[in-house]
Amino acid sequence: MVRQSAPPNLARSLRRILRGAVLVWLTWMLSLMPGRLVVVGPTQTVVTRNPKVGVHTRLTDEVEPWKVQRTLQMVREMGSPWVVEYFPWAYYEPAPGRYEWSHADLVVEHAVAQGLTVIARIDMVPEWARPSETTDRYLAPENYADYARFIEVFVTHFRGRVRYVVIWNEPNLAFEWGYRPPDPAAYAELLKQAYQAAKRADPSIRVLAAGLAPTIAPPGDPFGYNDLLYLDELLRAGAGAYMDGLAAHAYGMTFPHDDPPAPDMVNFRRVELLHEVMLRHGLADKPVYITEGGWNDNPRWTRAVRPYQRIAYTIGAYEQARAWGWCEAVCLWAFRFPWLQNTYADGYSFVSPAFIPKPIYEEVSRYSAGKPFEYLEELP
Amino acid sequence: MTRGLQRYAWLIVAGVLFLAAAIWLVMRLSTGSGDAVWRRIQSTRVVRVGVDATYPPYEDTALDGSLQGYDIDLANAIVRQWGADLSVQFVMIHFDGLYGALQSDTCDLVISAVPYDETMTEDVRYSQPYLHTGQVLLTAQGSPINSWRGLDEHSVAVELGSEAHMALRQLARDTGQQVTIIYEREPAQALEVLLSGRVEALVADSTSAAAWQRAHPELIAVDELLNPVALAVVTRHEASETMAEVNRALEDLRNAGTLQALHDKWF
Repeated sequence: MVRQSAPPNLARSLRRILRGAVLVWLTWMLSLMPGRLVVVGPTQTVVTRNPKVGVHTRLTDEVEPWKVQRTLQMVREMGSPWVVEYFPWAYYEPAPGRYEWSHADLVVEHAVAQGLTVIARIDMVPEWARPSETTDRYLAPENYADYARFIEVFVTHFRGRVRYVVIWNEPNLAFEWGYRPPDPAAYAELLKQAYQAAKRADPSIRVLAAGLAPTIAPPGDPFGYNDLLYLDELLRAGAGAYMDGLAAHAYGMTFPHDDPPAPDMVNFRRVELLHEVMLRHGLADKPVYITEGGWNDNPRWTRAVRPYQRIAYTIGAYEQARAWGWCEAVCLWAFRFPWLQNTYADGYSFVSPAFIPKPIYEEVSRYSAGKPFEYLEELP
Repeated sequence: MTRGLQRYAWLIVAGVLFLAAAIWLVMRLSTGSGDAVWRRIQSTRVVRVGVDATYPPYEDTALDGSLQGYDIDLANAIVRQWGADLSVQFVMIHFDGLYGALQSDTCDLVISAVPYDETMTEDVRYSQPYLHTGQVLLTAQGSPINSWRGLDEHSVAVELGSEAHMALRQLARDTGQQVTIIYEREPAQALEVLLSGRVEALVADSTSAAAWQRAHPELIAVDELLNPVALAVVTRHEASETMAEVNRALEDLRNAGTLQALHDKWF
């Protein structure tokens, strides 16, 4: 019996086709792999000696699911039960009534799975909700209802998963108010509409008034409005009835965590003065949530401290807040950036973009776990 | 027939290219230079340079209120290359606002120890590097350490939590070296540990290392910079002519030994 082999050209062609098919199949499999590798997993519990420890993450522009997951895992492993995250309205409602939740869902699902409590800061105006030639911080009164509607939809969508929302960010800065003079009465109206919308969606949602930028700008300053005066004006405008708590920004600058507060000074304990304003307006039952703050150790910045000081002040701040019955959480800026900022901002992070823990991360982890310090001699 | 067609096709291509070149030339001649920054500099004879004068020895403010530092001298040197009748007007800008100042036309150039950032190259234009910073391995004379690869089973001092600390950890991990890292709270303490002989080397940023070498000539910087960062002059993205002139000036200053002289003066 004679066995005939295929002509050489045909055999070569078949081999090429086969090789090509294998290559295509491998490429297809590789393209699927990252998606399949990221599994949300069972719900974890944060183990910490201080339930007020928190951080502000920056996952808004983090596109890879495994990086979102790893970030939030590391937050949990540091012993931080709180996380503040930014949810830009413009990203999630690109056209009126059209919502895209995939990235927000990703972040919230992983945060909840890690046992974290999410505080959602919501702002950034989509183009369709503002005049042309304005920034994404500009919201005209006639568009407050658009923002409020988004808050209602957001709260509905994340009901049971996100229990805190922050309405806007630092409205006492002209930059954050669309380059208009900061206006406490206008913000009070925005807060009122957002609060009512949020409660319609979920009566148990906690609505926080925006964290104000700590500033001692003099009256009439075109860029900023003194935060203590702004809060006072805001509450005079009746905003106290439309908040369940106050978000606050507490930056230590070059001062230690226990540096005494003063109206003409920006330091970590300035947040106590904000609380006093709340008390003066009869709002003792509305807690404060520090949603930004901390120290910077970038050698490039004049308002930075040495890395060792940052470690000591940060742990000191977390510990100090334990005695503050009026303060529920201390979420410091900023856990990790998706990429190097190449500015002083990198000096705020706890881990590098490549997830390499900085000594501050390691020491806060020891603090939260009640383990002996390696870098500090004693609890600050 | 085919050959004739090919010749015809080449003629069409050549004609199109010629036409495109002619249009470009006419447009350029009618509008002058396409670089508004360079046109402004030429007409006003003033170069506005953005600096964040809080970072010695690159730039800071002297006791008499004047600006001083490597970048200040560099800016003056570049502008001198462009013409004796040109002057520099320094614009004080916070570090985070330097790029924004270019975009808003507050300044023409930024010379302020700005690191080259690949992610920004669609927004601004960088010059060739005029200086490299990074982490330096310092040893005392007679030390057996002569490279980043020679740290195995040696003790090395760093400032706790500094970039040097992070870089040394990463290096040890990447190379599998067993390095005993001695961290100190202040840079000066790390230096003291090296000077007293309690460690065999010290890792620090190049700016600090240069200052320490000046104060302690017995210290030796070995091997190349670790994690080098290129510092560059920055201008607006559309300012291609300005940047070409900056690069030309930098090249001339380098060839004339001026850049080295500035380095020796400030570091």
